[in-house]
Amino acid sequence: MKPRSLVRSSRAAWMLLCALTLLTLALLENGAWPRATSVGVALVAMVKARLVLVHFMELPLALPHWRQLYGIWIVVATAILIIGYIVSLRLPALF
Amino acid sequence: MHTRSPSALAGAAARAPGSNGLWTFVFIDMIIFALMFFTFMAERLTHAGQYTEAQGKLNPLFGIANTLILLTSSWLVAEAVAASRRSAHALVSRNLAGALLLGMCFIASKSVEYYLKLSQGITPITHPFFSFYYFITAAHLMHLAAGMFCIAYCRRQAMAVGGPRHTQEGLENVGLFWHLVDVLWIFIFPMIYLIGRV
Repeated sequence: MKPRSLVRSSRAAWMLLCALTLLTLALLENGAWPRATSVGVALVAMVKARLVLVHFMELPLALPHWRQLYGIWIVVATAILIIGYIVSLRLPALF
Repeated sequence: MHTRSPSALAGAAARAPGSNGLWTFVFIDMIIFALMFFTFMAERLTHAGQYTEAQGKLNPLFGIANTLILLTSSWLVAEAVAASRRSAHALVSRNLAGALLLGMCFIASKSVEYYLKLSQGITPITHPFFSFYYFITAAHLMHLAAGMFCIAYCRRQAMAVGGPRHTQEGLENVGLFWHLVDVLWIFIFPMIYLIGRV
């Protein structure tokens, strides 16, 4: 039996996910701080992925090692995007 | 203060959704895509300006629409899994049908986007950025197509005359795979369409 909190929360998670996606669109349309926006959308992706893992994939019910590994993957994927972007800002003269 | 694990909090009847094999398969797939992400961002370092210029030829509204499509589809599959646990098989069928319809919308959207790019003369060999764009999105699209096939099979099983024939674990496994497709797109979209965009 799925915990009631997870059942009720999947709809709330979906609404939040859609809101975060529209937030991404708003950041894009704003265009005022492109560098901060690039980092921001990666962080938003991390939050969204976490929501999907917890509320749709039911990661809290998974075996402990999967909870840790999937959580680490999200952080690593986000770090790849952010670090790769920041380094690209600082290395244009070398290439 | 002693903290109970999520499994303990969920109650003794709660079990890990899906099979351990599927969790393993999904994780391996995620590692492969993470390597693609790393390769893309590493290659981007060498010609960031050119990558940004090429990225400007993509329309992020396609990405936004596809994200909303997949998020909603993923939610419907999660609801289908929950309905299956309550033996609400008609609801399982409806939610899976909705997920399939949204999957077809994603394919249609991607097809239009590919068509527009190709009609502009932008092919996988136009620039390394577009090599990555076509390869990564096509790989994701193949995962989506495979997921749709599995969802369609589960829906057919759920609607079987004489009672549903799908197993709870089987449906949960399909759900896990479908959520993988969603999670991957959550990262693919900003990486290819947004990051570095000026």
